[in-house]
Amino acid sequence: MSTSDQDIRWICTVCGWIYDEDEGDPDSGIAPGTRFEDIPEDWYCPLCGVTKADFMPLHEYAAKRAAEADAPRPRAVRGGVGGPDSVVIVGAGIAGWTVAEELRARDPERPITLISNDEAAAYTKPGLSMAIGQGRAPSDLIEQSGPAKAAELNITLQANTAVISLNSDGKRLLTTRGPVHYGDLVLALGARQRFRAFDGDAVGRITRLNHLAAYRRLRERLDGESRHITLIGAGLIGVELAEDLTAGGHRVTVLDLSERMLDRLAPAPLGSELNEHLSAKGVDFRPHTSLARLDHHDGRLKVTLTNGGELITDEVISAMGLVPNTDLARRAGLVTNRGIVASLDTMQTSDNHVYAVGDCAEIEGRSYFFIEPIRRMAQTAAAHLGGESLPFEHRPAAIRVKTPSLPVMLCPPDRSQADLGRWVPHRVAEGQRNDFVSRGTLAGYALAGPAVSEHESLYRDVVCRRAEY
Amino acid sequence: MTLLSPKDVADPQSAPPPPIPAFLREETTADLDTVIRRALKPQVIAIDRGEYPADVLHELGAAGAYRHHLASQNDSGMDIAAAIDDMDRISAECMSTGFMTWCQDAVAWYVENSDNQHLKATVLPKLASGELLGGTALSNPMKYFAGIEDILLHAEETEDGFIVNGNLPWISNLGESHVFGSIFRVEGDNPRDVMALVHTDMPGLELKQLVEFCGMEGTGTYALFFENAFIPKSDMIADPVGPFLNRIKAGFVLLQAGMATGVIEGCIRLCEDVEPRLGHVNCYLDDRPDELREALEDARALVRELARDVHNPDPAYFRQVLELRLAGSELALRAANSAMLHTGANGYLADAPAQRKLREAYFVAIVTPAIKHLRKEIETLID
Repeated sequence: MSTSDQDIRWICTVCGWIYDEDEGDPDSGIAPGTRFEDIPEDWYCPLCGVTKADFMPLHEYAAKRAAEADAPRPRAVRGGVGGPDSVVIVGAGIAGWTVAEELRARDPERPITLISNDEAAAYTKPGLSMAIGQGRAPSDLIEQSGPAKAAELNITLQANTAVISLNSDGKRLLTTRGPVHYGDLVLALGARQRFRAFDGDAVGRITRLNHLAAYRRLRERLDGESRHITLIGAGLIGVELAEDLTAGGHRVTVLDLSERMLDRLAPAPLGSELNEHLSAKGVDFRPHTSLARLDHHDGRLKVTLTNGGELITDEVISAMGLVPNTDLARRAGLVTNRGIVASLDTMQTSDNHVYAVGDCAEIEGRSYFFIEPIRRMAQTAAAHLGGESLPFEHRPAAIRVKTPSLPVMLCPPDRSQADLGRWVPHRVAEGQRNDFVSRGTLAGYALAGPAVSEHESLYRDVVCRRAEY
Repeated sequence: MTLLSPKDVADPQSAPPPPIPAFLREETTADLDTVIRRALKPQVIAIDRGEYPADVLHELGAAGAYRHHLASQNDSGMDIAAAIDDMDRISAECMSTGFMTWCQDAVAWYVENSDNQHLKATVLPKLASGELLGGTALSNPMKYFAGIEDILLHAEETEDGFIVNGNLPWISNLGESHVFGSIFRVEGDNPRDVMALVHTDMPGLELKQLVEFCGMEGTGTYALFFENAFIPKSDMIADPVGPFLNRIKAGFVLLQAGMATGVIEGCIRLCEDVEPRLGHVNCYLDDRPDELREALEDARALVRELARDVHNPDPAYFRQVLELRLAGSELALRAANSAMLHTGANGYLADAPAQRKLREAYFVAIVTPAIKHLRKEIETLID
């Protein structure tokens, strides 16, 4: 507040009523804009009746009282949510819950608060793309409710609450239920399906499946019906959902801009074989095309393809790939790249009191969207918070593709080797094995059919070669 | 002993509204803070009780309060953050007026984002300058699109316009010769939702003040009765309205942030004002003014960030706008509660700013989109 603003306000030192020159005191006949010194001497305080002599300028009064004041009292922590000595975890996916478990195991005393923008139920996300085939309802996927798990771990849960801003200098968050302070913060913000702005009046009907809540809404529309579903993208999530939805009695069309399914992760023969198996189940794969626009059409949806084709469908699901959630960290001034940059040794971000784990984190240029490395990131962060050291290790990703009609096991090459090698088919008795060979060594593999049994020995081999590399 | 009642001193009900200072009638335009201090501040209680401050609203427009968010009307292009900042400063003094500023901003925002060159050339400059005042009748349609209510206006299409029937409750910032944006359902062969600019003095439209509110009475709030009201196609804002709403909705909601941040600011100032006198005992309260101010500054920083990207079509962006709006409502309620507790009995007086701000804060939390509506909408956007 500026000095000129303060000068125009006078306080009654008896009752605290404030005379504001802008407002005057119209009820006593003092017009707005009347200077205090111009008020007649017979005027009295409208609240307590004392005269002008008991008034003084507000800023003088404030200075006088401030000089006499006691030391400030510590702030209250509302409902045990956060607090200056607490660890606050944002996000209730595998990463967030695992940090809570691992930290509690190491430190039974430290106050821990977990904030989630959904109900915070503990479940494993990969289950979303195989639930129908397993005959499971969305509620069957939940291993433990958020409140039950929080009680078991003796932590505070703030569910259905979005964290909208992070102020790392002030060590505080702003949430949709008010401010929260932290001692240390763990960002387990996850990732979301890549967004593209399509044309058409029904683009709002495109489903992005990354939360149990979104999956539940989809199942409510699908269960008991036979629908046509269009999947945008034939990557991991696209092919898994295609098979699972087909198993549920739905007809599925999969669009992808590339030539084959799993084109970015696997060699051509594997993509082709997977396509044959899924086609046999009724999946309609459309290569070299994607969605151009989506419009309402007689109570259904009309897809216009980039190649000019059209199809009528009931649901459109986006499976174009995952993007780490970094908005909160980026706005707070933390170092972000594709993900939130975190240290290999501790998972700390560019701010020592802020950690990043899971899909949202990026370690030495690498992001991991798989359960196994996410658990290890959580252990690294929890260990450091507990005063120990457990550096994260980059290990090759081992991906089991959940397509029951053709078992697939992938170990894609590390990005440092991806451009320096090529896929080589390897003769096997049944199924197919493809080795990714880089400078004469095995850097990755892709197995299908009975050959997936070779996974364990090949994985050991790749880990060993990468360590040498 | 003589007992004095307030009525013996002065009867507030019969007091005439305070005059607008003469210098504001002069040729030179006052800046916004001057208009707020000299014209708005003395009228705040009268506005709360029912005085519609048309003069103040014109003056605020002349000071530029309604043009920052309109690229076509603002020298430095679209600046949503500046529009919200002006609304914030107005609302800190009087949230009724802050709300009417939002109404005015919203109706201008519709025209700005429409393809109707006729309205852009004739109506928009007057809305931006505050010469023409107007409101937004989108509460019912927003709840209709969110699956909370049925749509209330129905229309029959003719060659050159629409014949509209139905009633709308509680549309604000209206009066004689005002305008407002309205959405109606067109029946017949080509059923769809259409949006148009409606003039309050058109035949077939009646405005009635049917109810009395506990505050914010001077906001020009009326129930609207359409009886075969003819709206010409030259006043169309969007047909069909769907893609248009997707274009404007983030700006529409984000602009409301200025009401919340302003009322929070006003509440914090009330707490700060009594700090010298009552700090030694107010320190036993929660939500102290310094804590609230930290949260307010975090919210304002996020407003500025989100304001840069107001045409972002990603549902994740719109969800952040709704979350900010929700946080603004929650924080306004806390700040107003705190203002009451910090000011004590003085805040409980009939014209005390603390209890006025308490009612204003509840308005922020109730006006569309209300807290419950926001939570419902945010949940559907979690994907």
